[in-house]
Amino acid sequence: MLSILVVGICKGALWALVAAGFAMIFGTTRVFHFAHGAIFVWGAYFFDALLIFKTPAAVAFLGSILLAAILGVGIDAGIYRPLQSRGAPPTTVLLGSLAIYTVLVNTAGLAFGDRTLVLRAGTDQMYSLGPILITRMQTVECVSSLALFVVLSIVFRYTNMGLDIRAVADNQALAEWRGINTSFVRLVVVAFGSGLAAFAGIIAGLDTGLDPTAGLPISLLAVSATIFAGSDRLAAPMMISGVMGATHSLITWFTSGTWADALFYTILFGALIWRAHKPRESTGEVS
Amino acid sequence: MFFSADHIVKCFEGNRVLSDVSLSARSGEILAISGDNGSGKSTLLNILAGLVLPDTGQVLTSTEPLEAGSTKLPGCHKLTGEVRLLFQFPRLFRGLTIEENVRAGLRDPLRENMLRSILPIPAARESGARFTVQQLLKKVDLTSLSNRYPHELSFGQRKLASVVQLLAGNPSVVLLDEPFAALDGDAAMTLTSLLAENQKAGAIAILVEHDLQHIDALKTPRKFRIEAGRIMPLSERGRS
Amino acid sequence: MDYVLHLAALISLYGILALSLDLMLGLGGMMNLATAAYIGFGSYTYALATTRFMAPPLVAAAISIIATSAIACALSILLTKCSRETFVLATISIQMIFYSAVYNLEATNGSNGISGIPPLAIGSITTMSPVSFTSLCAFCLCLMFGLRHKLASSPFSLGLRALRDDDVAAANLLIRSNRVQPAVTALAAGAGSMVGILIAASSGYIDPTSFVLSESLFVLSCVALGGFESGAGAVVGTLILVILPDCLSLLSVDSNAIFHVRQCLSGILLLSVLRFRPAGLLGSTRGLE
Repeated sequence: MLSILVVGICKGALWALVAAGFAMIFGTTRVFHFAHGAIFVWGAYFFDALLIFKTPAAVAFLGSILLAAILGVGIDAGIYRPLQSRGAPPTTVLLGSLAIYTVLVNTAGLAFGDRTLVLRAGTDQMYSLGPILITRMQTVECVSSLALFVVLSIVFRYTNMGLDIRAVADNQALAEWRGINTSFVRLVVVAFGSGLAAFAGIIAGLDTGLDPTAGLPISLLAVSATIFAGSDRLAAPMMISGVMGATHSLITWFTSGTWADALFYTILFGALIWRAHKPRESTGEVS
Repeated sequence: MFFSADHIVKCFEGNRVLSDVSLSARSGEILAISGDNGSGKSTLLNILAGLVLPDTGQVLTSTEPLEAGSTKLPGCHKLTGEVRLLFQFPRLFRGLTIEENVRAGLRDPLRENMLRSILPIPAARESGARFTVQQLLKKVDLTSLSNRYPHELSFGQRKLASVVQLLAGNPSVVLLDEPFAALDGDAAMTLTSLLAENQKAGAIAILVEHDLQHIDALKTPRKFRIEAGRIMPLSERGRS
Repeated sequence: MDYVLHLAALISLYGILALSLDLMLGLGGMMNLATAAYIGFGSYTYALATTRFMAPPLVAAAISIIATSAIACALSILLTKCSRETFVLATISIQMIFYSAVYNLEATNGSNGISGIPPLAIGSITTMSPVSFTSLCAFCLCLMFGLRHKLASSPFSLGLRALRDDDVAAANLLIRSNRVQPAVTALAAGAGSMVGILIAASSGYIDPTSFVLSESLFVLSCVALGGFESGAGAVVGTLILVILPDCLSLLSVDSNAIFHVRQCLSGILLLSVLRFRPAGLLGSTRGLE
């Protein structure tokens, strides 16, 4: 029972990582970056491709994160920014994001096939902490998630870059006027967020494996968690995603098969409805 | 037709925007409220229009006079479309032509009814609607622009189009948020004559303006002042 | 010849979906990604009614259309208060719930799908022969085209578009979203279920993999490419997106790959449209942006 909980927590930690990346990107770009889930998946695929070309594991690891960061920045510069500068409504940009998600996921399906990709041969190394058995990958998931949270908290509060990011997330026009290079901030955030997603994807690939569609529930969750939590927070989306990830893992364990997905999406649907029916505090508008 | 607001209170994020606002009007009356930005005027109009719910108090429409203190039947004016608001900045539908915009203002149940819209519409009804819209557009001199889209019109033209869109539905109560702002002399005169016509037809008009100079052209308006969420009558010699 | 008929039928079916989606999105401003769920629900209801409950095909078809429309209508009432983005997410959730349910329930036979579905016959028109089936699909396409045109030029379209452009100003004129949106959704769901029935009745076999999110996105791409608020646009967009990748089947490429190629292509075309011609090929730039 305890080990099941551990698995759940580690899964949750992984999802929290992805959500953090998404929340950061949304905070600075105001785009519902659905394609984030595709970058998550492509992180693992880049890693696989590099390994096939016989690059050493460490190089492949860093290389795929770098490639993912470039991909993320490319999407932002090539699609989101032109659309936004033209004054496109948010749903149009969301549509663009869905489109690029489709292209990326289907390219992966074409290039690598639809089967589950497992990056690691054989079973993983296990550690034991008292009564708990934990794999190496799961340890990485938890540790990195915590580490990230701590690092980001420090960066946002105490570094100049962190302050700039928060300023842009709060009010872009004002930040621009204060002399902050918003384009650069945006670049850094998108690159970092995408790299984070890729990192999570590689870990997931090493841990349980993934297929091209694995990014969808995570994308959806990250988007929804950010909507609930408010766009300028990081901790809440991470927390929510963490909990949902753990729940998903537990349900999968107990019901076997993909009922977890159905339940997960039902909870998501219910939460969205609930959110919509909550009276809007600031304007009190009825319709 | 009687229209009244009783003890309206509204707070936003801890700030008391409206404190115990009450007013009433009957057919043919015009209430002119002078107020500056931040006085709560727009909130009041939004609440009177039914677009925002007050924290306490209620807004009622009725065909009989309502006595003070009696238990009132809430006249759900939103359900009958009796009350319409002219927004401070014209809110026309940008994907619709001016003619379609005004047509959307007609009180036509088919606008909401998909099944009936599939069935053929009698030609008489269609031409009747067209005619009404054309007449209204003529009144504000927008006939030549009827096939244009709102973004192609000037601010003043859009405002007049909005007014006419509102009046197309023959509302019993018209609420106007700074109707004369940024209107040139001709447009202001057109608007005044529209309001006078409306008043003669027995409708109620409640408007809020920074200054009330335009109102004197209308028949015996009752003047008020709104300040910091409270409303008080203005005497005849009061500063407008 | 059979291939051409098959293509024509495919274009007709997707065309019906694109036309109904144009009503929802182009005119109504509702970005709905549950289209594949409508189709799937229609298919499965028809399949189960005929194979498990031995209902006559026409009765099963009627039940399917009514059930799909009713459920979609009910869900839509729940969604009327949603913001645009929340609405999209909610429809995606509905789509995923449907897929998961159909994949896991024993009643729907999971990933094995349902086979032995009887064809549909109205008089001498049956879904069994390719000519007959294609004519039926084409006829339904014309029906949907006419229906869409009628609604788009009716007072109802004023209400739809008003809600799309400014829901507060619409409420001010007494155009209420909880009257308008469920109605359009019911229509789109009905059209979707009809397509699902035709698919099930003609191939005799269905499984969950046909009713995935990518299909919903594909239909959306057809509408976006062809142009919003244009019936001809919806059909043209469908034509392009269906024919282009299907040419690849002539190269006897593996069918799974064709699916991916079709999705990629639709994604790329959609992006190009958004980037360079946001109103779509036949849509009008009405000062939207």
